Amino acid sequence: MSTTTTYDPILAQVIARRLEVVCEEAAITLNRSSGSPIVTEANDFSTSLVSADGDVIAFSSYLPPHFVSAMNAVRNILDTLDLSTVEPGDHFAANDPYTVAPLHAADPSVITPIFAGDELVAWAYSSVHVLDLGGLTAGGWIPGSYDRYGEGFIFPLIKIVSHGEWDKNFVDLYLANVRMPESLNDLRSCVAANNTTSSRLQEVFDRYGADTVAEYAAINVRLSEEHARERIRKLPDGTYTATDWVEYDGHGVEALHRLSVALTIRGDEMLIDLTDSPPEANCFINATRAALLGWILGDVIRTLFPDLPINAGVHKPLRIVKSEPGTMLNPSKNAATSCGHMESGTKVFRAFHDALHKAVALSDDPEIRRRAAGLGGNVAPHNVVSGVNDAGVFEVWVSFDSLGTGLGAQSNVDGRDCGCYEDMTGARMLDIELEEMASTLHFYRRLCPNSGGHGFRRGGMGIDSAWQMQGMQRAQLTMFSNVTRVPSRAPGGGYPGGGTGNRIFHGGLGAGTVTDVGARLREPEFERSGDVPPSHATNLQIDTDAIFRCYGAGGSGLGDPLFREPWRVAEDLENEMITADVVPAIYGVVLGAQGEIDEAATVARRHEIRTERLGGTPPAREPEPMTEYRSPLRLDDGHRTFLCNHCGEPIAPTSENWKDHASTRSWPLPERAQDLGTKVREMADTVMRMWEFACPSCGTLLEVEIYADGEKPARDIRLGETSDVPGEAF
Amino acid sequence: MRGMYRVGVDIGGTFTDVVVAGEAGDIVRAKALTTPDDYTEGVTAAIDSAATELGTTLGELMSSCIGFVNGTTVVTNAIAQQRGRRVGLLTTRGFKQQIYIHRGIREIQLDLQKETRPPDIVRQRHVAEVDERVNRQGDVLVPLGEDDVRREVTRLVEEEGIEALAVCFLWAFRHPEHERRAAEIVRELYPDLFVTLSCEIYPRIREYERMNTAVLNSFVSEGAETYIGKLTDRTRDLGLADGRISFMQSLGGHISSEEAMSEPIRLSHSGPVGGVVAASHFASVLGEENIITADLGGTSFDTALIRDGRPTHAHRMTINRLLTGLSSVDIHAIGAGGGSILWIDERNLPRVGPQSAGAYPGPACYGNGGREPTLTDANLLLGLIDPDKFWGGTVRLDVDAAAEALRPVAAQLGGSLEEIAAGYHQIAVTHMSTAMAKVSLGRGYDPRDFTVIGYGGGSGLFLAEVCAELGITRLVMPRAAATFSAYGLLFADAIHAQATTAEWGFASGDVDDINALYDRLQEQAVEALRREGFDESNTTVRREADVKFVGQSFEISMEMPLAPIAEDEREALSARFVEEYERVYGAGAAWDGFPIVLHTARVVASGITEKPPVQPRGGNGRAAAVEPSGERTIRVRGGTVAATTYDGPSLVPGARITGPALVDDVDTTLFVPEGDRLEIDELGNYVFTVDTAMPTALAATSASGGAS
Repeated sequence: MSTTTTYDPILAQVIARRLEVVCEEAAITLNRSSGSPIVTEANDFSTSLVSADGDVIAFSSYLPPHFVSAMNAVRNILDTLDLSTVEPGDHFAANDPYTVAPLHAADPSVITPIFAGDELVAWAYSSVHVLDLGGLTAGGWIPGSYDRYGEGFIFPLIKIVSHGEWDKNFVDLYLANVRMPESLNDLRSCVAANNTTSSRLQEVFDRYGADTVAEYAAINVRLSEEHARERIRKLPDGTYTATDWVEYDGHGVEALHRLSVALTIRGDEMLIDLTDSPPEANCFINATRAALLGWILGDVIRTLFPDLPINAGVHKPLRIVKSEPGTMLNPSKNAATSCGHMESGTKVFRAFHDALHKAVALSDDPEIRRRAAGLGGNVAPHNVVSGVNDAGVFEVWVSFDSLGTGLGAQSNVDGRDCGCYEDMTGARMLDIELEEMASTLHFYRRLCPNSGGHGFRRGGMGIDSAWQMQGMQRAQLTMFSNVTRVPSRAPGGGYPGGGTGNRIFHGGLGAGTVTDVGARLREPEFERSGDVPPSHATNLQIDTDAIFRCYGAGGSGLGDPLFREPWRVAEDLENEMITADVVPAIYGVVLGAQGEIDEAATVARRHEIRTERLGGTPPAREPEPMTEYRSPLRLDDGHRTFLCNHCGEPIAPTSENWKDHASTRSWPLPERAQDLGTKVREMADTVMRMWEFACPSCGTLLEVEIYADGEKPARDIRLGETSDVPGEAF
Repeated sequence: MRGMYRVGVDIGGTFTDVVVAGEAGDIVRAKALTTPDDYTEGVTAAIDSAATELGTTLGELMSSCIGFVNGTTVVTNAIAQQRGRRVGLLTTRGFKQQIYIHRGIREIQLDLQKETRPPDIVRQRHVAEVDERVNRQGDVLVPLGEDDVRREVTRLVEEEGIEALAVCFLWAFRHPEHERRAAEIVRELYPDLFVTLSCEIYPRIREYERMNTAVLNSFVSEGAETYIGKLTDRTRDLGLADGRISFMQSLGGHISSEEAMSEPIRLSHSGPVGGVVAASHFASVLGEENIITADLGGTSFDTALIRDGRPTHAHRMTINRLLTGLSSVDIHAIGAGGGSILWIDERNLPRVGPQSAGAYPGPACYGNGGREPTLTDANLLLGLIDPDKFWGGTVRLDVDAAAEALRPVAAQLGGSLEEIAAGYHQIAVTHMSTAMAKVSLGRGYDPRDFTVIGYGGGSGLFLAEVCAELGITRLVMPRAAATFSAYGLLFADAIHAQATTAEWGFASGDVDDINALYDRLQEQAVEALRREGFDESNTTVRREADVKFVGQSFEISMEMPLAPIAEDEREALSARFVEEYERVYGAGAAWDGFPIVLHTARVVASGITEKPPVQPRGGNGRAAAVEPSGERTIRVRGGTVAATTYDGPSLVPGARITGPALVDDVDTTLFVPEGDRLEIDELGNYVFTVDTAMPTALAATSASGGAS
């Protein structure tokens, strides 16, 4: 152990566990007292315990990006508040994106001081997505707004409860700004959660003394930091880059905004350079600092240290380089940001994940290499419906089928189907019967075939469902669906999953029962019919006879699909996860008339596909069979050459772009997506291309990437090249 | 001894325990090896040996038996090991993948490598869609396609070889006719096929839970049919009168063999319930109403809350990662027991469990080749267990093996063997007190208002310290704490619960509607008891409601009046709900001004069985003379002390002991820490008075414990 200060490891463990339980109990309180399905079903909330000086010392594991919200909130309090005025029974709240800086404005922060005797010794924190904050439309995401003032109610730090009594002025002001008064109940649930944190922590103080608890909380932060640094040190020094695109078409113009992330590993530290940002946009896709840092932190935790207690120690080895002020990733204060975390934020996260996994794949440590993972859809394409129902009641309904997007494939297991954002560790879709408690009727619900990215381990599947209004004559629909044109990135040699999408059948599908119509919708001929609305639309007027069909994105696969065990391919076909055409075309599996596996024909077909990848030349080498996932590339002993990890042959010197030496093919993205059976929305003016890089010796797929038309694959691995820029702490 | 006997049978993984109570409350215990190929063999053997001890014959005992209650893990195991029938599922057209999608429910894992799919109890190819559709009002949008039912069931049976069927249609709890008609058609085609209807097993909203409940019920039906059927036949052959046999359910009471055969899933997870039932009864004998139970076995620590003499219940249980509609006595289990393995995590911090060394090889000190250190090994090194008196001296423990197992972790953590063992012991105490805090504080109850009843073989060495952590002063450990769960079967009542989704507004609903609904549920529940031979004289009824503010997803349970609800009672009911809500979630948490809705109406009818009397052991209430058996040096946190030892069976009612002391009983050892007192009450129970004064020295001593 590198720790030098003397401490009692037993007590360290006891207190660490106690503090975790405090946050878990607070999370249970919040969940059970909430009325919002976004809390009770999606678990879109978190609870934290923050030290007096602003370090997060314990955290419930529901939504790692909220960790940054907690940190920011207490920093803002320490910067702006006269602490001598703070008293027991006070609760503070704020949602201002630039001062208290939560993940986004619809996730207000509630912060509560905790006292030991007369001394303020810690802060309880909780945050929850409220379903309405006013603005153009309910839901808290405002795709049609041009700036922050169209996004609803923004409030800086306010004492909302004094000595247990709600501030009537605040309550009146809040209710005057929102169309759903129950939105305030979510803040009440946060107050209840912070009360739980406070009272449960008091018992820990009673037992061990507040000073000892603070001392050991700090020891736990130090331990987490030490171990986080140790893991980072196992990644090879160098700079790794990746690109992604932010989609937006909500103001009538279809646009893709390119961004890239450069990750430098230097010793036990990560430097994350976000300077390559698009300009600030006049819509809700700009990301605040909290949104960016939150996703990055979540991905680092999941990839490198999901086992460490989450506290301030885990972010201390991370440094960030911001883009220029007035850019999409560092917007000005008037910018709209209500969906920045889900729009540009997730694209930064996807690029970051890809860059990080280039380093993970080349680690000397097999445990680190085993952390390889594809990328989830990381999207929840919400449809928010509001209107007056037949009983005369104003109703807002968010379809939670939108949570049905797949997770990325893992090195040991296929990606989880319908797992939603990878960071939303407690997400779940609703029962159909609960969905239908709102004024809707569902025609069917299934997994969207081929939506999970093909690979040795398959990406998680997205949902496919269709619904219609029932018991409401006219309504308005706000939708945003942000993985329609560029699907998930796919590190590790598998394919991206499918995108999200909506189709509207105005006037319905003609005569037939609800089950007949549902069956017809699932026939292949209806796959491409119906109207395709903008992926970002605000207050579309909808009629009772229109049918809405929604697809969820899938996660990306991991590893060449030609390595996938044929029995799994046959099982996926039986379960309707994949269609019959991709079985021989993508997986190289040949099935007999009864669905049985033809082993010899499969071997031949797989050889044939590898030959096609090499432009018709049969491969010179056979890849090693793969029973456990392995990275596509490895380094030679001196780190001078990239070798194919499947056949061992050298591919390129590490001083060059290995992709220039690979066997390469590319297609217009929609064309290749058709081969893969995945859904990707075609654009009017822009063409993206899918590139596949194979080993020139054995023909194994090493990486699949997407580039803009005319763009060349970049050199994205620069071993040993590190930046001296200090960067900012999180 | 002659007379009316009551028999409790607890079939465990290794042993089948039998407890027989005579009319006077005298208790005889017997044990036999469990016989998984035919459980009735082990049961018969155990009862036979009990009969011998009672000086009677097996036939005599059985024919004069007035209650034969079974607790079994047969159903639990079938699910855990995923060994059950090949189940087919009929569902609404368009929704066959619902059971495969599992709502995408995440496991709350930061490590996505652990984010795996729940087990599939039914294969996708065994799910068939049938044309039919009902909407939320219960109106039929598409009539049942009867030909679909015939075709699909025939296909599932003839081509896919399904062995049992479940039927779950959307909104079937609002409109059960489609499921019932489907069942009729199936019965015409395959009269012997086991069929579960979702509208019968769990008539409530949320089709995924209904579907899982129905599928699981069909899945476990084979084991249940063979076990319940065989046992019923066998006991009848042995002379047991009809209607005397019953089966413990997870809800806390027992049901008849006919019911257990048709709804076997209700027996799932009933194992630890016996102990809680026994504790509830025990509490009433002691005159206590508020109890926390604590059961420490080899692999787990189970704890539950009893308030006002009744255990609390958990609804919508998750079984083997599947959400179901089942209700159970609310027992919180954690992976900490005598066999829990002691280890060191990557941050070099000591951890206890949840991995267990199991029964074999078990702790290192058992000498069966176990090499990993366990809690029992730590307790042995601390001197808390006498190596020569374990299990009444039948097993001799190997202190050297325990030391050998613990040495590597002690070296890595940098402390003496005893220091490190004491540290692990302390962590286990923390785990247990955290679990007990969860069932009390976590539900808004102050543990200091409760008495702890402790049982299970390992409890005695920890519970006094656990109680001290929570500020609980009173701890009672019954004699024969180790077989308390089987004993509890003798005190269980017959229970029938009927529940349905009501969605009745406290302010707006029609009182006639809700009263009629409760009357109907009550009639169904009472009728089920009538069939088992209970009548008004020995039946009690409770009306319960799961209530929430409109818009919430979770409800709070409250008791409802038995008399019809009157118009002018609405406000009082609302006030009671708000009061209960704020008790749980704190002041200011209630949703001011929001309507309140009765989500689920439930009627629980209990058929009260006669309980064996609890026999006093004599004694006159005066302090009795106490003779120590010796002294052991024990290591406790902070230092070494000399503890006086006592021989448990020699302690008579009235005996008083002060800590530090150890009591070696036949199948357990009790640790009485310094400052605590232990008395034997007139029933022979061990009653601790725990010193809850702050151990102020703890923080100071621990900081100097030191590692680097």
